[in-house]
Amino acid sequence: MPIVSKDPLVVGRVIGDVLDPFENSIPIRVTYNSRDVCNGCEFKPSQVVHQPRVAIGGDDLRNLYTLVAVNPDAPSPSDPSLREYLHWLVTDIPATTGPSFGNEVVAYESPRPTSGIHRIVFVLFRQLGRERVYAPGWRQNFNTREFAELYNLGTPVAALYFNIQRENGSGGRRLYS
Amino acid sequence: MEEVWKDINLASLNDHNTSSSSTSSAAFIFQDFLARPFTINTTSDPPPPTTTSPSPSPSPSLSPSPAPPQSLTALSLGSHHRHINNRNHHFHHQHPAPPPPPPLPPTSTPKLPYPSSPLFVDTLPCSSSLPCFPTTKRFPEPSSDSSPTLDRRNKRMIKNRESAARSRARKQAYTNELQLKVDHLLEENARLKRQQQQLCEAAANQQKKKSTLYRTFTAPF
Repeated sequence: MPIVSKDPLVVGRVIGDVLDPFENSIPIRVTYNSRDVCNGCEFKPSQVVHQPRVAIGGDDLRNLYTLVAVNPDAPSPSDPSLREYLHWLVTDIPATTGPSFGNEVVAYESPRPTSGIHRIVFVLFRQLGRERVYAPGWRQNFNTREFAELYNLGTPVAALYFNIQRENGSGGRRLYS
Repeated sequence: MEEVWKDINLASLNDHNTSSSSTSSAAFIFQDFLARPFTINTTSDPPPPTTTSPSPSPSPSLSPSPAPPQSLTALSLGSHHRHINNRNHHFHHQHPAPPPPPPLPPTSTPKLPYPSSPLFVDTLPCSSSLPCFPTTKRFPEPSSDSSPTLDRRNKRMIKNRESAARSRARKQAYTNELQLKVDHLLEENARLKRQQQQLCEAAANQQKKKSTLYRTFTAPF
């Protein structure tokens, strides 16, 4: 019997498609219009137009964090040729604060999937120091693993994801509002 | 069973990396998935018989021989390979009309490693009588020679399967998340209740002692 993980990140294939297994060590809270994001919940494009409020835990203000938001199912989950589509990239976020205190390398772009049910994944990395991060030339085909390796970010310290589909999409069961 | 799926995933990763240009590649990949687990066991196979195919004398000797080995119970390599050959052949319909089916005596069934090139098709015997493979529900095969419709249908089926699997994973992930939340909240609730009770008791105790006013903060006594 193989080891079956119940971690929503594993079951939802975030760990696998985007990230490798990691230990969650920093609490992260993402809120769109006073609605918190929890793994696997669903949002409509109209609810995620503007960037969310992100609260990062930790205790030492001297620790800096990098936040990445990607869509591994672009343009369609059955044919993710643009995996991963980079929606947001903020570096130098001090612990206990949020992205507004950091350096926005790639501006937030609101997800607007056309086909299928996509996942939007937020990943948090701890930085070793303050380093100049260069924005990629384009948002598609971003690779979070390679990015982390390039800037020596190590393994993630937190990750969170939600599902999103077309505004008037009818996919998925009505499990949630 | 898990190994089969693991191999399929590995195969899919490999195939995604290699750019495939032919239109039959999708179907071919599907066949690859099915065949690769079998090829892993057949490490010592001779090279594909593109050059060693038997002479194309179309003697209809296929019908008696394939029937017994291709039953599910006979999971010998030979029967499987012939079976795979049949299936693979069906999916390579784009290639020009295949040569008349050469005879394939059971003893000399080529134990083929599943090659990655489409050259394989030219040597495959075409068995009109499909093997009585009971698991057609899982890996259904065309009942006749391959055609574009069946190809499309199979592609669709694979896509649908993947989509269904994603859907199940989505649902399961959300359920797990909710379960974790529930546990977490119940714990927090219990903790807060205990804390509140403690504070209440402490407050009540303090009230019993302090029936009159007296300094507490400005002096330690």
